Amino acid sequence: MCREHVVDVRDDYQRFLDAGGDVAIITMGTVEQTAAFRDRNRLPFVCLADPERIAYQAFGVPRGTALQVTGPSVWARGLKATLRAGIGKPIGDVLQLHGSFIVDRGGVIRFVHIPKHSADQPSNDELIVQLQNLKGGNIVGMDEHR
Amino acid sequence: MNTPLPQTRLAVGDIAPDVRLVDHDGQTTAMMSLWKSRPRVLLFVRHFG
Repeated sequence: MCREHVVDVRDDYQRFLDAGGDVAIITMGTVEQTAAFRDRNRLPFVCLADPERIAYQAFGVPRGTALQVTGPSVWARGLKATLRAGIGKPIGDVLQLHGSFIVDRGGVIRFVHIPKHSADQPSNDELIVQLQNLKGGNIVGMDEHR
Repeated sequence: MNTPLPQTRLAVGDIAPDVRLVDHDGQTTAMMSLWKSRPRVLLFVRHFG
């Protein structure tokens, strides 16, 4: 979950809303860094600053190994992301992995994706289908991805 | 005030933790408020450089 994926979600944001859901980003940056990131990428959804990684820990978003973050499985997608979103100076713990969750209105976690490596992330379509299932009150298809 | 929590692995069906963070506008936000009106996709980014 890097800038490229966040921009992808931004571009599909209306589809997330149409599916009955919404989106929030949690970053490891300060409030100022998080606000600048939101502005620079024209993000329409709430962005939360978690420089102490309290929420990362509470949700169990792990740190990876150097291989998970920089290994061959990451190179092709990393190149694509760099070409699209540009190169920036990393902010935060470079070994911290990303994570994706969907929480329903009752506060129950309905979807978890903890990546195997830093380029492993759910597609927008996958997340939107999960929201559509929740919208219909249908929990079939709720899956846990590890 | 948040208390640092041990690293846990949450699973489908668990109750999401209610952590207080500060949003891009500098407002303290209880995460719980994020999913009150709509299911919320939470994307924890790796870094944003």
